[in-house]
Amino acid sequence: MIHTQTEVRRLYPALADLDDRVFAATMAQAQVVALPAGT
Amino acid sequence: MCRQFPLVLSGSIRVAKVGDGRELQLYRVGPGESCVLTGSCLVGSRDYPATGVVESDVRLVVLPSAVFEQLMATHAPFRQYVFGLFAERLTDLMGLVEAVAFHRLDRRLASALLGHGKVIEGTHQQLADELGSVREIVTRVLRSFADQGLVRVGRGSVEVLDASGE
Repeated sequence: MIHTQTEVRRLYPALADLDDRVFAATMAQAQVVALPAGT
Repeated sequence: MCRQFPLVLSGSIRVAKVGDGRELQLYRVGPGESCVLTGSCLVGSRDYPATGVVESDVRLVVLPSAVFEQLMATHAPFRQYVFGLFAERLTDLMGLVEAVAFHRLDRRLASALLGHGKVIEGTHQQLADELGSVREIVTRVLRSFADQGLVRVGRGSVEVLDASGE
């Protein structure tokens, strides 16, 4: 999840400057989903 | 009904409108982007009006609607990001609407002109009425034809210069 959080912060600057605690709380409620091509 | 807001980390999703067996691609969503229609659904509590197809394997983070709403209400950069997304996609979609509308009218107008002889007497408004369009668009397409040397547009008339369009 740490790697995913780093990716989110890198790809979405709008979330990058969230306070660390708020960002962690936000990500704790998020889900990582993988979807194969064609779905 | 949309319940989550996606943040794409990798891969690509094609969003399209499907109807009458035809499909119109609206936009693609890739890494660093999100789906504006999903945002719109979350903001307006509406059903998703299109279809998303995964083009290449996708990894994404989905934020529950409650988190999305909280970020919109409390975090200005996120709110600006979402509104920026709306603005960008709206511009793209207007271009798409224009292309779809004008390309069709293009052909219909050419066909109408060719069916009336070498010189067509009538105003742009009359042509627009015949084609079920509006004068401004007919004028714009005629101007485009004229720029290509296909017609000469006069007051109350259109002269066909190149019927083959070559």
